[in-house]
Amino acid sequence: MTRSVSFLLLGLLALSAALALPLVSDSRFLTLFLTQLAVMVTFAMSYNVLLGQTGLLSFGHAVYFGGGVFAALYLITAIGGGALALPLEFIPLGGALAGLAMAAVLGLVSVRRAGTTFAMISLGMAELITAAAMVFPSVFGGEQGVSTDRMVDVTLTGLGYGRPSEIYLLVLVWALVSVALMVFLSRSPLGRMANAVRDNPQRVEFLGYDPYWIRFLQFCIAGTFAGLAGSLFALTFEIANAEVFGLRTSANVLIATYLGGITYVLGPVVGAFVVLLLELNLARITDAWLFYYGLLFLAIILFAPRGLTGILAELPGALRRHGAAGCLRRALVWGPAVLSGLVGGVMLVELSYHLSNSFDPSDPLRLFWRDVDATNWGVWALALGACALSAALVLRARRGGRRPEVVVTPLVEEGS
Amino acid sequence: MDTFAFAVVNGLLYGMLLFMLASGLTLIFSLMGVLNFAHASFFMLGAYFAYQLSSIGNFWMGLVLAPLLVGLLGATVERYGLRVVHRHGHVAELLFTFGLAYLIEELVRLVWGRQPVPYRIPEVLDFPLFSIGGIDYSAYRAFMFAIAVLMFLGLLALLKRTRVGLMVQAALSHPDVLWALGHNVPRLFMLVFGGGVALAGLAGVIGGNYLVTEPGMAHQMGTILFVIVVFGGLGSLLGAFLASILIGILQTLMVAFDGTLTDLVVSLGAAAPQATGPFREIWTITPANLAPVLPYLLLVVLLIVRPRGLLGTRET
Amino acid sequence: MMTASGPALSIRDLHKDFGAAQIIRGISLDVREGSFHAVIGPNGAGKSTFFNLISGRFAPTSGKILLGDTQISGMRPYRINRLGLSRSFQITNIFNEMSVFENIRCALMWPGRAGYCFWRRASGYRRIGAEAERLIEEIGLSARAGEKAGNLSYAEQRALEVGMTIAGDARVLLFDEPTAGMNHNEVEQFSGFLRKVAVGRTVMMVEHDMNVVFSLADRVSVLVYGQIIATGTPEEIRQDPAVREAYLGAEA
Repeated sequence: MTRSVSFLLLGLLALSAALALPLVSDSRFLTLFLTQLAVMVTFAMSYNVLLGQTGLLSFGHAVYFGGGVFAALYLITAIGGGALALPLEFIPLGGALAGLAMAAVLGLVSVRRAGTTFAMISLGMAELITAAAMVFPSVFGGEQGVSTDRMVDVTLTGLGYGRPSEIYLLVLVWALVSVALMVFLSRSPLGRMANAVRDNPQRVEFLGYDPYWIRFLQFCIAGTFAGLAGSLFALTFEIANAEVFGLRTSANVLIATYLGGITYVLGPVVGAFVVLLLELNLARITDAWLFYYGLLFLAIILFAPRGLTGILAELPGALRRHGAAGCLRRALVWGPAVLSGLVGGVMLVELSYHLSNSFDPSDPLRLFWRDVDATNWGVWALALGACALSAALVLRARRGGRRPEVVVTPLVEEGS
Repeated sequence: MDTFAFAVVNGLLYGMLLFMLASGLTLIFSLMGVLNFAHASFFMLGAYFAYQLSSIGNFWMGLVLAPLLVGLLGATVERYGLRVVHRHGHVAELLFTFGLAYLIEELVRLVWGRQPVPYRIPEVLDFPLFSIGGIDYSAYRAFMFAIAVLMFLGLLALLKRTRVGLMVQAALSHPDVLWALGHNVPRLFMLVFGGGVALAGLAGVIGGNYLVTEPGMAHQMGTILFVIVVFGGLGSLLGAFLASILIGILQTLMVAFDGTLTDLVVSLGAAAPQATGPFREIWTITPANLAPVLPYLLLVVLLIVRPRGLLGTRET
Repeated sequence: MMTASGPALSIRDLHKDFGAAQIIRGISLDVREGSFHAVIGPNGAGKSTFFNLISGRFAPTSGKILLGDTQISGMRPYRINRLGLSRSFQITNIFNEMSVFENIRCALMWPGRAGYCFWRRASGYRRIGAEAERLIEEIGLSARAGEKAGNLSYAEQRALEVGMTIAGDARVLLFDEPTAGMNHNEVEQFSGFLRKVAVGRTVMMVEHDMNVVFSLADRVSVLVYGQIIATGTPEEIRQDPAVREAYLGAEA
């Protein structure tokens, strides 16, 4: 219970920061970042309704997001053209409805099976929708996509929504409402039974519940909020093409959610934040950012299945167990190994990227604040050296790591 | 008629190529319960390795060494990756292989660049074997056919004749029996994963120059592949075979034919419909446009009619 | 409570084949309302399959199963459960990632009429919460109520398993080897608990421990190779020559 309280406090803190930041600074970049964050958080939270709560691994969540995007684009145009007298603020309801409708239809087939089969079906569905959307440029706009103009006359608040900070407020409000609703739903009987289906669907059947129906309802909820997130995306960017349905969008939300930690209610929020930060900053520094991104994802799956939130949540416990000095010692042992490995690895990756992807490989490459020549073997030797150093340090740290256990064992025996 | 025959033969070849991947994927799934999302990525690696080897030495060196390298890589991945996440369940394993696919695609871009590489058919086999109705049939295709058939015979012999094969067979029909047999299961897993992935690598070697060797080929092949194994029924080798051939031939046939709904309506004696409004393309789509959609459409239809797939028996 | 009305569960000529293998070969049996009915038999006799057929995990190849007056053969397990039949599993079958309290609460949701509701908080169902706490007390896990079920000891997990089975108001309970893997003391304690639970309900139980069977059951059926060769009071079963030969004799 204390964990959820601290989460709540953290959430409130982040919220007040989110509200205050665009007021304090009028940086367009920051406002856009926060708007995107709100969209991504809603989307990732909706994804976790499937993965974290119900145990359904989907590779096709973008379909419902995309449904919301296009529904919103057309609705905004309809409002702008005077065909629809709906205030702009209610556009997300349309997106949510579109997501719900698609989830209700596709879900009937999708959730018959769980586990691997469900994952593959979701992938097949997504490919079907993406390929079909490409076939119909009259609806989805082909390569250049469908665009709209959100500056319409019919609004509730009287705001014009031309300025980024205005649309940010609208997106933020809807995102907050969605997150609150999803947290509420996770605590309802349906949400609890979804957890049970995730752990052991067979037993649920012997407790009076139909796992299919539970999965279906959860699938609809996830679809609804994905559609809502899609409409927030449409409000922010005012343009999209059929690629929004594709695996790249689905993979992105999957990775963000998992990085954050699927076992925590607000894990996806952390994940969305980190992923967006990486996307916006890493992509400016290096072309190989997707590689690092994939590497981070694999590392989390292998070594921290509870995600970044899990690492954060376990830090206080680790501090208590080993003491500040113990933690510092560990950091001193492992730090240099990890650091030299990172430096060597990054150098290797950047050098090969430059060599195989740049127009002229002998052009200087900006690496760690210095210009280097990727065709010169000296840099390569340096990179390999750093990697070798790291490997040696890891071996030593491992051997060193075993030693304290040998020391501890007799102590325990004496004590008892 | 000749076009039709050619489409069927080409479709059969494509189907065989698909099955070279699907067979390994099915074996791995049946034994370990994990659907290897990165299977097509190993196919891609096979093609790139073969390209690299053939640019240093020759095609035949690639044909032998590339699958071995891919298999070795696969075994390493199983040993140090999959085995670690195994205790977190099948969803975690699937996620791991998904992350692996993502990483391999980026790795390929890293090493060989974004553009297709010039991986070519060996000159010895680059001649028309025979021609029907003015269309040449290349010797390389016949060679691919031969390799695929050889591989299946080899696989069959392996399954029927060797100890490992017998254990795999036992696991195929009774998944829980394996643990009771008391064999070295982890080593078996490593072997089968490495072996299955090596088959995908072999398919990459002979398919890479037939298709195009580029970083997107894994995604393109992968999604079709998953349709096939789900369509055939997860864990069924025969189902995977039937689905591979069916989808291979259907997709090739679709490309070979033209004609639209408008044509159909007109040929039925009605007036040509006005193509306006949203979804107006429906009147002018050709089967070739629909070829990419078809496998997924088939999958969805099948799942409505028969949720466990063509020949599937196993719950997942 | 023990009325002499119609049978709580009545099985007519039940068959189940797996491919060519006939596992259940024509079982007919009446389980009286309020009785404690044990099913015994050698390994591989089909006892677990028999329970799986009654509870709906498998559909029978042929034959009828009546729960009270309702024909339930071939129904999905959740529908059978809603009609008032609850079962436990031989291999512990719980929700590992959830707390003990949540495990029990899940078992009480449907009987507590929470259904698929998503517009109320689960903790708002006070009667379900109170009943869950009472039940956890009864199975002796109060001190562990907040613990993740996957972290419990084996005996505690068995208790939780049975707790989930008796949660709610099922009239008929099926226990599949409830004492499997327990030591002597635990079995003794557990028998007393089962006796308490059975009051006012109909219980069917598969059990290997003959002491448990003869101390708890008032009716015993002997299942051998997919057929019931004898049904009677424990005393009659003990005396039955066919049973002695087929089963008890072989063990002695």
